[in-house]
Amino acid sequence: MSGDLPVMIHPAGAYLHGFHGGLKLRHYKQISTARALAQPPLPEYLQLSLQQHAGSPAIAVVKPGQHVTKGELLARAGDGLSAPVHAPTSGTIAEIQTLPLLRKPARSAPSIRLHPDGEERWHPDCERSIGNWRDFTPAQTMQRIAASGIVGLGGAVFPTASKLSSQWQTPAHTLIINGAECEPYISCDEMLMREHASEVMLGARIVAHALGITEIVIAIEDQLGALASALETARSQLNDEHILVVRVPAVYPEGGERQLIKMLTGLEVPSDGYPQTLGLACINVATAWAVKRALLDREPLIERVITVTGAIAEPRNWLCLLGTPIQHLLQCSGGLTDPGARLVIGGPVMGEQVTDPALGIDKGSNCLLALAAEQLREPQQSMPCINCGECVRVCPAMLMPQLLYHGIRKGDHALSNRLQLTDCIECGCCDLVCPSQIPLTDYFRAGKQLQAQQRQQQARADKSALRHAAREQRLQDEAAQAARKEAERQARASNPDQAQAVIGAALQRARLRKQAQKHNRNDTDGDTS
Amino acid sequence: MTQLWPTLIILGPAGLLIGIGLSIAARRWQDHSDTMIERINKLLPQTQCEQCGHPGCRPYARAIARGEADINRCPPGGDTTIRALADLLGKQVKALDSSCGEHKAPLLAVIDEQRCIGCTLCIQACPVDAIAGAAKWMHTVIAAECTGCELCLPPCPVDCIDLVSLADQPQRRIPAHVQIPDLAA
Ligand code: SF4
Ligand code: SF4
Ligand code: SF4
Ligand code: SF4
Ligand code: SF4
Repeated sequence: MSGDLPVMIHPAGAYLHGFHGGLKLRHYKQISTARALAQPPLPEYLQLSLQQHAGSPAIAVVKPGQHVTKGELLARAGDGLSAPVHAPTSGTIAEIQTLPLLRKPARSAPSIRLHPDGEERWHPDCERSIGNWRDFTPAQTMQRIAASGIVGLGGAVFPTASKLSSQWQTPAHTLIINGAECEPYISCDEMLMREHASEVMLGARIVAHALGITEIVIAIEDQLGALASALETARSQLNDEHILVVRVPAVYPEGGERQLIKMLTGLEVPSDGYPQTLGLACINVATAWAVKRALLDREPLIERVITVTGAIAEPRNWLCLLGTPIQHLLQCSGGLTDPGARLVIGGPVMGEQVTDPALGIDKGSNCLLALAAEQLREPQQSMPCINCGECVRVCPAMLMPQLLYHGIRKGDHALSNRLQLTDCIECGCCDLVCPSQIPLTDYFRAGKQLQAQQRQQQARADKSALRHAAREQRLQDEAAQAARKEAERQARASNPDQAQAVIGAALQRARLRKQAQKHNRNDTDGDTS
Repeated sequence: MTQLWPTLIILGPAGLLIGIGLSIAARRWQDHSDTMIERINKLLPQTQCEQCGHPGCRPYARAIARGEADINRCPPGGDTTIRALADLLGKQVKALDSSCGEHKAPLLAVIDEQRCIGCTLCIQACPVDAIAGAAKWMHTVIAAECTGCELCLPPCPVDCIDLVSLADQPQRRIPAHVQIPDLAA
């Protein structure tokens, strides 16, 4: 990091600042908010991937045939960055097999299939009291959050405890609760806050307490007036004047962490930094809710709210057990209205296609969207770039998408590095406005993949170079040593007198050493007697 | 016109001095060949396969820096490396010299441990010490270190070393409509 870090002049959320670029998108959220939050009936099976989080996959601790109770640990956290997985309900483990990930068909991970027994019997650990969270040390709270398998539920699925415990370059001062879901259609966070406003606030307080701070800012979109008053009511019940509810303008992607922080504080998170760099913590509302349930209700993360919407007969929000198969959710929601619809997890802009509807929802599944056939844009019809600059105008990361595009097409990695390809948040704004219909974001995703691959290759090459050099050195040393020995041998052979002298000298030395030892022994004998 | 003289008197010798200084400096630091070798070496894939006709990547880099070898002799690097070398050296891009070998995707050597007789010949051949074993004992390839150079294959008397494709290579999931030059292989 270079230079001094910027500091906040006003408290976060006191004034709203803009961020560069972005788009106003139509919302389509009311489609799924008309029906109340509900729980779907228990499905026939739950399919729980052990890779529901960023980092290494969890490691199964149960065996097929084993009976498990609700909330029991199924898989412990793997090495390094990882998170455990718990049983969403009681039942029997049917099998553990390697399956592709829900949103990433090219990657796979072990996956546990659980057959519910319908009894919903809790694990004894989930019923034992753990004491008051106010008495916990920060480390204890973090440990509890980690052990409950809590990850960023906004979609990034970064393990929350790791996120909150990492480097604080500036002392923590404000916790931002991100309730500003900006992508169209997705309403799970809104529904959650409507129904569980005070629980979300409690969760936020627990996190703030663990960070040793009091200031909490809850950000929601500005058109959610009813929600704002619900939050206000909850706030006055908790009687906490440190909680501030802020309504931010609905400009996509204001729900992005960096964009939201810019909006609330006017500060820019450095390209190579994190919110922590500025003393800010930023978590999603659903994450805060999960923290509350882990610390107050002793429940690990076993369910989440998911919006099922789009070309669906009865769109709504479900409070849904993790691992619930996509097809079960579709059935419960009345099925598809368009058989040709494409199933996507996430919103219409950043969402990723479902690999297989038989797979279960994971911790990062905020929305199951059925995009009707007529909403799909065919990618093939792109035209050459006309350098109109529209993409530059809307890019919230302040990049130059058109130049990046040229760089990636030419395979010029130095150029895409210089243009900060890594800062692209893949928001899709540039795509949406491009008059030539160039699938820019797809290029940026591909470019990032290639960059990662190249970095890996370079690291390997560097290591090989070192090992090769080390081997050369070793061979040289060995050869030199052999040559020296040979020279000595020859010298001895050509000069027998000298060899004799050397042997004589060695014998003499040995004799002297023996005598000295004898002396010593006599001395010590004298001492002890 | 006369006002010009003082200027000339001062600037003339000053220019001369600076010129002499610069030429000395240029001569003093003229020998860039070492750093040049490093820069070239950095662009080579470090497979250490000796297909270029030099005992490793660095010797090849040295030969290029001295103008003794052409830039199109590294099969593992393929077109990407040739392009990078041409860029660095201001030379013309040309096709891979097929007398050196064919470009192929990176590989990994695997020893069939059942068949290995422990003759240690492969260890002696491996340029990056990626094989572990001892005389009359089973040998094995340390996957993380193997560059896939194939040098261990010919010496093995029982032919128990195979090449497999790199398993840890991340699978590419790039949509068909994204057209990028293939840098991966
Ligand atoms: S919006 Fe499209 S056409 Fe316009 S400059 Fe960007 S890439 Fe080119
Ligand atoms: S996808 Fe990347 S380049 Fe395009 S607008 Fe979003 S951040 Fe900018
Ligand atoms: S041919 Fe083999 S040894 Fe020669 S430069 Fe290429 S990788 Fe290195
Ligand atoms: S194990 Fe074989 S293929 Fe691998 S680096 Fe060593 S010699 Fe080359
Ligand atoms: S050369 Fe073949 S037989 Fe000999 S040690 Fe290596 S793998 Fe075993």
